[in-house]
Amino acid sequence: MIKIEDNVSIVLLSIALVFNLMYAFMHIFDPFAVLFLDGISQSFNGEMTADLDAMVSNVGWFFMIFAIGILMTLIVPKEESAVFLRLMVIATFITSIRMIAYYMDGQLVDPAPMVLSILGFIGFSIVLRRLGLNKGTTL
Amino acid sequence: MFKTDDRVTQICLFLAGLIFMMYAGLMAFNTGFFIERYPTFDNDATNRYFIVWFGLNNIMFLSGIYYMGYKGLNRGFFVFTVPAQVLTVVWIIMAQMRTGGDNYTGLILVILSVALLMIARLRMNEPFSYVKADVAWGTSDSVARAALYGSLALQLVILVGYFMQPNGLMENNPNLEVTEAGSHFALGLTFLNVSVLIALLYQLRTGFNGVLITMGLVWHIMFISIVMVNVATSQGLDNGDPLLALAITLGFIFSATAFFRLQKSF
Repeated sequence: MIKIEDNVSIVLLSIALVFNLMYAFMHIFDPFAVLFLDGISQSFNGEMTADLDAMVSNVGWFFMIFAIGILMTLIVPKEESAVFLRLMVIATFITSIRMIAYYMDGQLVDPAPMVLSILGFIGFSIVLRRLGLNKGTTL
Repeated sequence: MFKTDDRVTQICLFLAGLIFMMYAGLMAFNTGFFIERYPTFDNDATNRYFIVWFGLNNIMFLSGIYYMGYKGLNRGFFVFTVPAQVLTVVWIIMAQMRTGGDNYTGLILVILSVALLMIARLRMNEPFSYVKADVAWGTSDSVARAALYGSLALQLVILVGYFMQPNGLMENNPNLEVTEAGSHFALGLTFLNVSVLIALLYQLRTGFNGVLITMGLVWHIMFISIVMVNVATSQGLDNGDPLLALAITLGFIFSATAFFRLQKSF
């Protein structure tokens, strides 16, 4: 069923799948979203307005979409996932930079999102490299 | 699609998938709207908890349809889903009789899904006799077999646990209250537990089955994610149901082990 032959990549992608799903549920479901925002942010006052709820849910659905993308990556030949994996490396890199800036700025109380986004960037870079899909290898 | 040219089968499974998708969307992600449609439901934490759970179960059913869409029709899917949906019909009728509710949409749609699944199964042209595999679970991989035996034992423990403490899911969770509706939801989950046992016994006899193992893993990945969310947001392990978290974690380990050890064969 799984078309990728590199076991390390399978493990890393599987972990990424679970964490993306976890963050998806955390943002989509209201009670979790309130507790999450309360835990990581200094400025959140505990009140979930309709606008904030919609925006946070959207973030959750993006995580869900990424989880589906990772699942698809596992079950198709690696060449078909090249663009998606490159996108994930860039996306996690940008997210890492933003999270580091937020944390240094003091807006982010809990370092977990920053650490996870950095680990995500490292993980996807390793997968891209191990599958031989980095640009210099394939072009 | 489904590796068959039979349009009737394709349409039946497409419509069954639509029903699963609709209930997955409504129950898991638009719980408030779902509760509004049933005046006999209170909009309380216990009901919302169980309705989301049932919605996620529908995602698992849907994943089986997607799997067969790519990989072809598989008897194992029907061995699990037909009993699960028939038991759901019984469960809904029991709920209607208890509450006197007059919204029959769910009942009609679940009966329709049973009919669609049975038509698809009948048109598969595959026998209803299930030949015994050479070895238990159809594999000589001892790790995978241990994981599958572990799953079977876990499901048996959960079933026995229900009869010993029918309201355990609510009593063990500080965020929930024991209500009449909650007790009925717990019964519905036990019906699903029985269907899972049927699916596991089927695999014990006829050999492991790709669609069933994949559906099991889909369910466990969703629920282990929610366990992790609970741990992360409550900043500890004492704000939920530790027994349920343990059961989900063990189930995830068994399910993932079986999947990764056997996935090359399906």
